[in-house]
Amino acid sequence: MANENHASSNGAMLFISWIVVGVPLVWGVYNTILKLPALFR
Amino acid sequence: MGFFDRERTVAGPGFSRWLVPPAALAVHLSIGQVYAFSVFKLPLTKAIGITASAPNDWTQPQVAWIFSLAIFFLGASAAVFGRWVERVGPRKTMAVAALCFGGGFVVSAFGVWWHQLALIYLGYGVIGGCGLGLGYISPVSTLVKWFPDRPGMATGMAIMGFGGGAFIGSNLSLLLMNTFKTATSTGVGKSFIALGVIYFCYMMFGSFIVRVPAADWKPAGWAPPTKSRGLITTGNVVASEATKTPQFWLLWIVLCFNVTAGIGILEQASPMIQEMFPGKILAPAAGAFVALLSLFNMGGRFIWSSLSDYTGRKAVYVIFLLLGAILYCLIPFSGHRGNATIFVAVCAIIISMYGGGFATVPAYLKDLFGAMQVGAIHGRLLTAWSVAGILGPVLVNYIREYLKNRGASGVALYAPTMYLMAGLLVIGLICNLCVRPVDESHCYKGDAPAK
Repeated sequence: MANENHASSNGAMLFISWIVVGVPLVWGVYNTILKLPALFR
Repeated sequence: MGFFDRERTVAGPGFSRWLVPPAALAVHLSIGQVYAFSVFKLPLTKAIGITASAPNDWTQPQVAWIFSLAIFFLGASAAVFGRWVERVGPRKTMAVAALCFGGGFVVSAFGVWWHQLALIYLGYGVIGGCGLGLGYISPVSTLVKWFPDRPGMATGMAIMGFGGGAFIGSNLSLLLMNTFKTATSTGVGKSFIALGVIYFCYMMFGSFIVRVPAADWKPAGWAPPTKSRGLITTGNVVASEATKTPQFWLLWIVLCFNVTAGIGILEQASPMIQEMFPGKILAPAAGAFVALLSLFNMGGRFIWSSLSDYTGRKAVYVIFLLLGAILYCLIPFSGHRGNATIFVAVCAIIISMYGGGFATVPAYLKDLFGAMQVGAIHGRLLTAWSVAGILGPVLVNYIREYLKNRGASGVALYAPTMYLMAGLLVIGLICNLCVRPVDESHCYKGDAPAK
């Protein structure tokens, strides 16, 4: 039971941590990609 | 035992090692903001005049020193504090890095409000620069120890964050300046305070979740090599001993010349493409070209370093240096042909290898010197970056100025520099080919691993 709780909290922490770093990175990359079409006009 | 002590960060059984890359990314995504510092350049030159530079406003060359100081102190602090970083562990180092980097912004904000450039030099350049250096090396040895089976991928992921931090930094800074801008202020001071607080909290998140593996931990199903194979050693070399080996200095030259070549293009990318293709490429397209290079800089860090786990580090550097030299020679060719597509493609590949060089080098050091003090050794190697950060832009800018004064224009302004960069890469290639396994006499002989 204790192991199951540990595993689920580990999984939740893993998910939250990747969201915390992933969302700003994707936001930054997305905003940069929006500038690219000017190069191909 | 305090919360920030190394002993408190030792992971218990069942801890997922995949929690460590987000901790490293939180720090590197923050300090990567330094690549986006140029967005503050123009507003800082209008701190008094607001809409246009007033006579008492700072000049662009004066403001440019802020970035140069930050990069210099990045390399210097990484070299000086590398051993301390290994001793106190990643949590305390990341916390100190957060304090320095966030605090540097706050000090700089006062420099803007009081119009004291020296305060900004001290804040962002010196204090923030130390935060950059400590933050840059803090997660490296931790990641190498958590991912002994794939050190290239692990460190590449973190160092990719340094490239990605520029995207977040530039967009966030512009957003904040637009928010705080008024008729009597450029909004830079308040933006600095906001950035200081945001980056401090974000880096502290990394500090809280980072863990080091227990001494006897290893990935499930992975057996450490029992004898040295190729360049990969089974021993460990301490930082002070590593700098006495030819391998360290050969790699120093390799990194220095690879970065010199890449940073020369990065720094001059926008004017270079406009001058080489006059009339064809205008300012908005040049801005998009810079954005494209940033994407390849970030992607190259992860892709090339992950690839090195399969090919070996030496082979990947052979590609960087050999292919790089050929591609630099192609740049004038593309200019003479008036083919901007070839130019863009060539520069994008070059910049991906520039990023890849940064990201692969910690794993290269781990192969040669072992994981024990790889963070400290990496810190000392980063002095090559400090040198290249000056050498690359100086070569490109001064040669261009010299040629321009002699009446050159267009492709002719850059062609000799590109051939010179190719030559530097060939020297780097020779140094890389000279790298041999480290002699066992350099290995640490103590019973317990030195921290």
